[in-house]
Amino acid sequence: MSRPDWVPAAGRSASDAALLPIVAGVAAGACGAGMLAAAVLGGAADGQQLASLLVPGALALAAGGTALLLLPRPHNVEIRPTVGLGSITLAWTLAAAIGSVPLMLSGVLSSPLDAYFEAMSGFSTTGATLIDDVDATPDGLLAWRSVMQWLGGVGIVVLIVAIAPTLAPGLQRYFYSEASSVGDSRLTPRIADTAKIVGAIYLVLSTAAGLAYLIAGMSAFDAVNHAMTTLATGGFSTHTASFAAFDSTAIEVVAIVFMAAAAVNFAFYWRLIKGRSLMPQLAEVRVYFGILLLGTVAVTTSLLVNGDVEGTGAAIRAASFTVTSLSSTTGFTTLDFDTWGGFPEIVLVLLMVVGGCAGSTAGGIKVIRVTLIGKSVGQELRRQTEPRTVTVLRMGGKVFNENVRGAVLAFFTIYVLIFALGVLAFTAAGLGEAGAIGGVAATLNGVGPGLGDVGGLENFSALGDGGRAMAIFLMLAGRLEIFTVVALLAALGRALTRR
Amino acid sequence: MNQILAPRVGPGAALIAMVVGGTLAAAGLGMIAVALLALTGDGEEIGVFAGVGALVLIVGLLGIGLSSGRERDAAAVRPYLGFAAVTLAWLSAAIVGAVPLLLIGTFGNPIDAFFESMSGFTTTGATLLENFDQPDAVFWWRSVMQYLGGIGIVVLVVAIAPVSGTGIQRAFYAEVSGVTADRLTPRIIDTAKILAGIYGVLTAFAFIAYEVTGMSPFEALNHTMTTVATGGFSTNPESIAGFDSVGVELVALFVMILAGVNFAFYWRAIKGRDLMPQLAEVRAYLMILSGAIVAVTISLLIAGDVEGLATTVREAAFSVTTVMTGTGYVTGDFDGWNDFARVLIVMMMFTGACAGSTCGGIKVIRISLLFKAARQEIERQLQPSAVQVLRMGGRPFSEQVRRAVLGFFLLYVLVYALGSLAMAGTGVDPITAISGSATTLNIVGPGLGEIGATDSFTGIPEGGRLVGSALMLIGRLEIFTVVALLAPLFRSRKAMS
Repeated sequence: MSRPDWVPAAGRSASDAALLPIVAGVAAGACGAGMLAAAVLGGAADGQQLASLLVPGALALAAGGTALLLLPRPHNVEIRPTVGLGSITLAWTLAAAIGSVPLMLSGVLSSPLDAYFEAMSGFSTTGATLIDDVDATPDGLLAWRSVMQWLGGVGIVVLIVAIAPTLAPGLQRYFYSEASSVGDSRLTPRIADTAKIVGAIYLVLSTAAGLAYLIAGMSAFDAVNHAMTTLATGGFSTHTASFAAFDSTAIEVVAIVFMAAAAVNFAFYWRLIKGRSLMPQLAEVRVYFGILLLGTVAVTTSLLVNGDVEGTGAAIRAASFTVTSLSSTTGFTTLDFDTWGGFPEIVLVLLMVVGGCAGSTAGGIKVIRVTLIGKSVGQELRRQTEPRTVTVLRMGGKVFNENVRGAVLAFFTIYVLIFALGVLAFTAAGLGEAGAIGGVAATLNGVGPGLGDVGGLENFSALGDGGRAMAIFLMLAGRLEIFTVVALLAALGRALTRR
Repeated sequence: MNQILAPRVGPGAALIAMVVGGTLAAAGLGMIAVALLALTGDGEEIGVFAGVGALVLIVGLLGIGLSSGRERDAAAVRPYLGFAAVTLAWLSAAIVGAVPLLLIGTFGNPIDAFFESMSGFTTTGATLLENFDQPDAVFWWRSVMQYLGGIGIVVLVVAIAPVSGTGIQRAFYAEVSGVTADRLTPRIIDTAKILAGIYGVLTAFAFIAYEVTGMSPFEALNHTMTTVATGGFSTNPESIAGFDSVGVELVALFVMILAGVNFAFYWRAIKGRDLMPQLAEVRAYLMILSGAIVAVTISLLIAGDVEGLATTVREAAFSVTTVMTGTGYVTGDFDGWNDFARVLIVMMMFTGACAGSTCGGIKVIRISLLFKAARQEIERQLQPSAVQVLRMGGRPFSEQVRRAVLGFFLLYVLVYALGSLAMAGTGVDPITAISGSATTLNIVGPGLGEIGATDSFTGIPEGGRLVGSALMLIGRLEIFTVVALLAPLFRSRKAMS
């Protein structure tokens, strides 16, 4: 593997470890610019607590810019797996650390752990919050929460669709080959171009969402913020009551459309624009919309049968919004789905676990993996009765090699293990079972609201400090497709025991 | 299904007739045994068991007669028919098992009687019995069902109709699938004898031990049957807690742990054979068991759920063992414990004990292999070119096994999720739904919430009882056997597309 060609050729270093400070510089610079943007938004609104954004923003931008200008870049060296994984993880952990500063300085969340939780929830596009009264929070900091999610969202799509293949070749089995662009070795010869196009698609969709919210009746400030958190499938809102604060069908419809759009593979849009073959992304998108429809029908039926909501129209409205919000792992809420009973609750948790398409801003296991898992199970069943059958994993006409099968199966196994450990940890940290299961589903899949103590209308305050630390880990691990973080920990563990 | 049956109707039908017939014959003999056992006590309702038993025995023998002479040409029997035969046999056992319970009036509703009978034969131990003022024969029958179900129907069939050939072999591997199938001997009949022998020794040991602790012969024999089978039905409405005896609890604990060990391990130990990889599994089993006991004990002490250190340890050890081995006896009401302990208890249901034992769950060997496979996949991240071999206790496993274990796990999670959904669809709260699905699929017995340790399954509506019955059958036959019956669906859809 040669030098990643998206890195501008300035100063050059013969060591791949030089990548780490560069990535840190990018993260700091992006955070700094984002804080300044949030300060502008806050200045246009209530204008409170702007200093807590301007000062760290200017510092972070200066530090990041200086690092990018002065530090040498790795040139013509092979990136070792640990360095690749380390730089991806560093980008998110450092961004969350810098992002927590304004929250602490402004006193919105005075405990460093809580501020870090909120910032990680932002950059991982989760949307779980520890702020009790969102409405009373200064606008500048609300804008910063939205910007964190927007940056986290664009970061992940650019990373997965464009950069990861170069940065961490070992991760291709998880990020790239199976997720974004199976069959092609890369989207374009120039990864920087791909990154720009994907970023542009994200920006265009965000702008469209903002305009649509504005037309549907949101204030300009709300529209900008919700556009950012919708496209990121993040779920932070400027209101404690989330979308219930608007009580508007038009606004909910806009949210549904853009949440679903954000959960579609960005490689699909790219291929659409470039006029390339749409497979297998189209197959994944079809399955995704099938799941959305099925989930909506199931929840609507249950709401009507149990009489939780008055009238068919209201039931369809509540079910379609909640299903799209949780399945796209956004986490906006209108009604308290925590009171809908066992069946819809389990349906919603399963939807969170499935998540959206690979290569989107959504979290979860991802539709393509779930589809491949289903196909694999079907094939195992056939092999039970016809042991000599030769089975090939196929989706949308594309053939997946046995490596992909192994990777998907292992991904699922580790996902379940982490899920189980998370539930145990959350119960130890003081949540009830429903809260623990819902809480892990909400953080590991980047959704936000869960069930029980951390249900649709609650925040994560019921979770003790140990549980908050665990939640931070789950949000990070889930955002980076689990293997990034777990493999890095394994490498660290190995390095430590070797000494 | 007809398409598959049509070309080879001869040997296939013969296999089904033999396996179902043999199972019915065993069930009939069991009922007659119940009539005899009940004579030693109150002697009520003997006629029902003798009559139904004789009838079922005759039907079973007719089935065996139908198939006699055909079993050797069953070499061409497809695996599919093995699965079908075994599933049908278990279903028919549960159906005839429900008949006496209905006739006597223990249950007024056929669905309830079927649930109880299925819970019996699958050695689950979930019960709908609330009124324990029943004739002795009813208790005997519940215990005998579990005892028969524990050893497995193929062993029973072979004991009644001493046959050999590919057909019965297919049936045997349909019942004990995947990594759990240990070829002890080349001939199924010899394997069956060994398994029955070990089962018998455990039975004798448990009976004597229970007698020594002061149980009446009636209680001792009933509990022996349900402990060795890791079933969990009790003659006492409060289960083992009703005896309030450390001695009884220790015996139950010890026998449950023994019954959770791979029977192939005992056989190899007796014969002085190589103990691997079974020894590795037994080690892992005991480590997981003790680790979970320690964790539950600590959480109980911190939360102060149980009074006193000794009682805490006693209740924690018993509860973890009873759920991990899929038995389902109750001493402490774990439904009232802290959430950490409750979640851990449900997780231990999934772990299960060793493969090749009478227990349910995913099984320790599969869990170990899953962990190893996951670790290798992580290592592959760091060294993409590394060659990896799945090993346990020094024995390498083929890539087929890796795929089968991962596939099993996926299917298990899938069935569990669908089961929970279906259970919740019948109108119970989420915790009852997910624990009810766990306790039936892993053939344990008690769950949480409405079906907690001290409650019966009456907290679940009729639809949920049917879902539970299906999950018990699927779990007892280690998932693939029952679900593989759906395989033609996948094939035909492929053919169309």
